[in-house]
Amino acid sequence: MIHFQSLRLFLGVIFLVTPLMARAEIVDLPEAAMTANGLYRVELKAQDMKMGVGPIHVWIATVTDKDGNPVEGAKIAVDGGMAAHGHGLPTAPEMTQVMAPGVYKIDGVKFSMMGEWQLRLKIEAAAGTDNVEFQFKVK
Amino acid sequence: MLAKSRTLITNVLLPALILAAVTAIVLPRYAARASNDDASLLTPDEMEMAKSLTLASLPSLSPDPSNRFAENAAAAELGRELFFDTRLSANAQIACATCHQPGAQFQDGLPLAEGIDRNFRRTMPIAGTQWGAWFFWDGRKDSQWSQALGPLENPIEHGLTRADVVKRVVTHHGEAYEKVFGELPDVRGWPNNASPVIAGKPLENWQAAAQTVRDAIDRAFANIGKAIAAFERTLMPEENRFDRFVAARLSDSQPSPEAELDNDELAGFRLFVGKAGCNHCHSGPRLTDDFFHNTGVPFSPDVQGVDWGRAAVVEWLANDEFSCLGPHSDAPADTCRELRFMSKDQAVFEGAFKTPTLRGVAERPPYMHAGQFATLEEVVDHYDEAPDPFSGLPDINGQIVPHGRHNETIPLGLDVREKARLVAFLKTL
Repeated sequence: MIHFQSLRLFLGVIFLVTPLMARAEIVDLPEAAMTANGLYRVELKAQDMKMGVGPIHVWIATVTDKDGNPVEGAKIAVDGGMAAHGHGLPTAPEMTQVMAPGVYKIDGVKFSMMGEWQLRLKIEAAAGTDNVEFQFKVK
Repeated sequence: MLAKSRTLITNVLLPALILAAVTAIVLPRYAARASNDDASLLTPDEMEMAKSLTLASLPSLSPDPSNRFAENAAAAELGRELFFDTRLSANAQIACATCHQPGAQFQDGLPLAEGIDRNFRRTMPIAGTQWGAWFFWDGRKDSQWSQALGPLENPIEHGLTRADVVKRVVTHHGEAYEKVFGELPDVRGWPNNASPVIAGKPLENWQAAAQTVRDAIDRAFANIGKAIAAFERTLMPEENRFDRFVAARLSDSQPSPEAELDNDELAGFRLFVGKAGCNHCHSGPRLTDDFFHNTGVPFSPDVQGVDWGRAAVVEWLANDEFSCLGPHSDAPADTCRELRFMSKDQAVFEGAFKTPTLRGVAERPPYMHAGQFATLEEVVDHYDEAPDPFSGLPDINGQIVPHGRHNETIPLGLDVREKARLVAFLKTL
């Protein structure tokens, strides 16, 4: 007689190995998005997409204009949160460094749990002020 | 004939029997799972979520760069002695361990802590806080060592001044102090009863002291906190029944009868990570997100006025002389990232308190920051209802003005059975 428990465990192991090996990482993040009024195109990504839950870490925003030229001298304000849970970011991230023309370092991002998060950038540059939101999962 | 029947058995009957057996066992279990009747099986997603709440997911402990004695065994031993020493109090009856009792998860079971006088908040457990970023219910401290200094100078807790704390440590623990920190302060000529944070005579005495004396007192006071923190760093979160259950399932072994979860408890787990959304804040292996939330907990009838929680301390924290960025921290400034990037938006933090760990929660009533609820059933009822006590406050003209809803949670719509299952799960933690 095959024991119920061991069979169940055996089946469980087959299904579980893959997801459990993975560390929490950022998924379903669009590579780029246009700002709401179409002034800027923004590429946004975490410096390490596997930072997961807990550590404060760095994101990189690359801002170009409609013609694909880097947008220099931008001021970028960051907020965000988990809309589904009604709370904001646990930290106050800041744009801390211009890494290259149109490439901005955003430091101080932290995700306190797995789930669906939003990061919103308010970009002030010569062409005007515009906003963009990125939605993604930490899982 | 014999050979033929053997062939029949091995080629036809045996495989048919095995197939029938496997079908009989496997299919109903899949069918049962699909119709959600067999609550004892967890889906891969549920299993992943379950593991994230167990000690198996606890990362290795990061160093505390602000405390260079954090891993020092002699410092931890001194810290242990200080932790239990009632002489470090105004009435010689209060030690850290008076409220943080080792036999009771380092808390006291009281709604409001009792030191020299009654506090307006509940004692918090200690184990696992070495992984945390913020300390006290309002997170007004950013390290274990800095936290440990607060109660010593609080008139309602230990009721001493920092000058007296250092003098008493020099008198009673001088040898151990010298062994760890190298040099015993020469306290001759130091004032008694002197502190920059206690108005009246202590402040006057502090201001009358020379700057070199004040610096020496502060340095030794910080060292005392660092020794206590080195001890507290050794207090590890304990394995609970849920840890053992998940570990057994993951390692392909059968949970011991003690560690098995029954179907009500498993249903409670599903509510915890599902409909009730407890894991929105009580996440990770310590069952806390290390952050601050207003969950509409009623004001305590035993506490005067409104406790504004984190909102009242975010500005103050930036100027704390014992913070990661202060002169007594051992950390390079660029490592103080929690402090550097902390949110200072008071509106977000009005009435917000730190998410407490739920490890061992069933054994340490009462609950919430002022012990407002006597039982887990009351806690679950509260979250099911999701009231907003701040909505009843009159407008005030202080720095903090009530506005909007002050409860991040929403009513859960749990029925009686679901509430009972949630409580059953909480008891496995």
